[in-house]
Amino acid sequence: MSSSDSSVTYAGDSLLDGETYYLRARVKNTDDLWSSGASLSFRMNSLPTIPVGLSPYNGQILGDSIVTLIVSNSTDAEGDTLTYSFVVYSNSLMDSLVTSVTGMQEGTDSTSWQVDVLLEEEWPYWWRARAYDGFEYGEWMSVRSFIVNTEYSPPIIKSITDIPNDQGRQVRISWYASAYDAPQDTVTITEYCLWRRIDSLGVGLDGN
Amino acid sequence: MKRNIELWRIVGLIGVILTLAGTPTMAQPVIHSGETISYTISFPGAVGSYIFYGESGNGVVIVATETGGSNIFLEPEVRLYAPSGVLDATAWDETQAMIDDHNLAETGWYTIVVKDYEGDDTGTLNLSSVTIPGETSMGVVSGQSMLGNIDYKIESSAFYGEAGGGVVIVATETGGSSIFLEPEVRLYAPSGVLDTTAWDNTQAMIDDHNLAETGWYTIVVKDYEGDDTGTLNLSSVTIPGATSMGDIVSGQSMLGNIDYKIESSAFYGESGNGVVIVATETGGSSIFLEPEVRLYAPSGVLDATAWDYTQAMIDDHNLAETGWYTIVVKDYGGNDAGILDFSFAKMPPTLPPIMNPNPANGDTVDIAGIVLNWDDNWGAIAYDIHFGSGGQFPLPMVAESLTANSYPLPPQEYDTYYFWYIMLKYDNGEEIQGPYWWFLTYHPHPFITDLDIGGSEDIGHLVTHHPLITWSYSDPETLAQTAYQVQVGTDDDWAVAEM
Repeated sequence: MSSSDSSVTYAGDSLLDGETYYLRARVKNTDDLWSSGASLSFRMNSLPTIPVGLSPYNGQILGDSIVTLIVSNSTDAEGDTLTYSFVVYSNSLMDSLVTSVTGMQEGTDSTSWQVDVLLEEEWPYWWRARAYDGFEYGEWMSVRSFIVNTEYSPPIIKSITDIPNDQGRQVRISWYASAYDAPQDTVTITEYCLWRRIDSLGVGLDGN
Repeated sequence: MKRNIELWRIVGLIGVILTLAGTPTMAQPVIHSGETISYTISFPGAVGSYIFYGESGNGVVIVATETGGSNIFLEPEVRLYAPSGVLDATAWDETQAMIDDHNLAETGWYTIVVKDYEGDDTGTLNLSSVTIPGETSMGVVSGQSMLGNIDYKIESSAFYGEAGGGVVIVATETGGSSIFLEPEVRLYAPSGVLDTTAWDNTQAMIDDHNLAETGWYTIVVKDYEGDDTGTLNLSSVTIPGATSMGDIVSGQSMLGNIDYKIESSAFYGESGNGVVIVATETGGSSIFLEPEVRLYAPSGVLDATAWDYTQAMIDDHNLAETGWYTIVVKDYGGNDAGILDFSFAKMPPTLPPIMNPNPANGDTVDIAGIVLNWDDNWGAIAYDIHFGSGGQFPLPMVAESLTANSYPLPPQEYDTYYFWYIMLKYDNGEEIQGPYWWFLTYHPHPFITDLDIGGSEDIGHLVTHHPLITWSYSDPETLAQTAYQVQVGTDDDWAVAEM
């Protein structure tokens, strides 16, 4: 290109992450003499992979006010040292930031961050995380929600409906599960007890 | 139709005659020595005319070649008119008309007329002209090879020769035996007289030939019949003179690139010495190069020669003269290319009086900071340095009776072949001339520093997908940048670039 410029923006196809490229340039002077080609190779950075959320799982009700967010580690094609960002929002639109952190050093297999603010009881929160290789941030993991509920949280009966045509022998009772009733919860719910009262007498029933 | 042809011929010749009367007008095109001009006879009877300035006693070579090869009917005719208007010489041929071996009798503007011999054919011809002495189309000097384009024309070159010296001139077609160009070499003495000529199907050679005059000789190379095209390599070595590979000492081997050309070297031999010279193709029997070695005595006489399919050897041979011998290696048939290893041994293996030049023979060097130096093996007490460019023969003496074996040169010209030799002086009054050495200066080119991409980004982890490419331009002569070329690719095959 006839020009005295000493710079040009690459205008070809978008360079691909993780690809090694070669650059060569030469210049010509007013005597129509070309320089020899100066060259270098460069590599397009690869994004770290998306971390996988481990805890809390989506919709988990936590019984501890000290909340720790945990993700499994990302990987990086260039083998760069990774750090992590965590963010916590108070709404699902994720425009109301509660707290965040960046630069969390990577753990052995997983990386965790203990949320640094006191979260409100029985209020849903949304969180996510992403990795950073020192050059670029990776994609955010899919968002997850959780609720903190450290108080006793009995199951709440949602409805009682009669089973028709059985002469009044059966009713269907449904209730909200206990806040502790989760597969990964530290508190294990082994059974629910349902009580009925007939003429002031209560009868214990096993199961649901 | 015949009548029209005659009419055009009359009109054309009247025009030429009017031009020849008196001093030619400068409106007529000038053909310079070493130049080839294309002329189209666009209608029957058309003539072209060109002028050149010649001096009484000059030699001249004028060649008109039809450009269509042998399949057209144009018969080139060239007619040379002296400044007085007198017809000086004429020639015609079915494909290539040539006036040569001809000395000019007058001084002034000569006119060359080109036409179809019978005036009834049309076509295009190339008119080539060389005056002797005068400019030539190529600049081949001793020890060099240069590519000549015989595209229905001639090429010309010149060298300085001294009476009694020898010369080896080889013209080799570069296409091997698959093309039809038949190289022809014609050598003209400084007086313009045709000295000797040679032609062959693939490689024409003039050698074993002593020059009778001193001055600038002219070489003309062409296709023998003028009806084929192609390229040829013109190689020449004067004896004494520079060689392509420099001098060789006993026990040494060199690699010669026989790429449709010759290579040459020199050694110092004394009468009675035995020599063994072996040239071996390096590709084994899988290539077709047939090594040939030709040994020339200091007087220029062909002393010995040998060739073989794979290894040529000169041995069981004693030298008859004392001085710098010249070795020429080449392909025997001139139609194959390859690398030759040639080795030299001398009995006894005495060192030459001088060796190891700096700059090394054939080096390409910067114009500044050149320091000539050499190894003196025989203990000369003083040195005269003869140095000059290819156009400065005989080489002028630039330093006399130096006692040190080095000599710094002032900055030289760009892109120029320089030649030098040392005259060694001994305390017994004897003087021995060293071999001719040569080097080439290069024209400093601009260069790029600080080529970068992506600015402050790490080039091992570039983030921007359309990054900025930057460089710094430098030029030793402080000339400005006028253009750039940038390529980005996924490998170092620059033919496949994304930009």
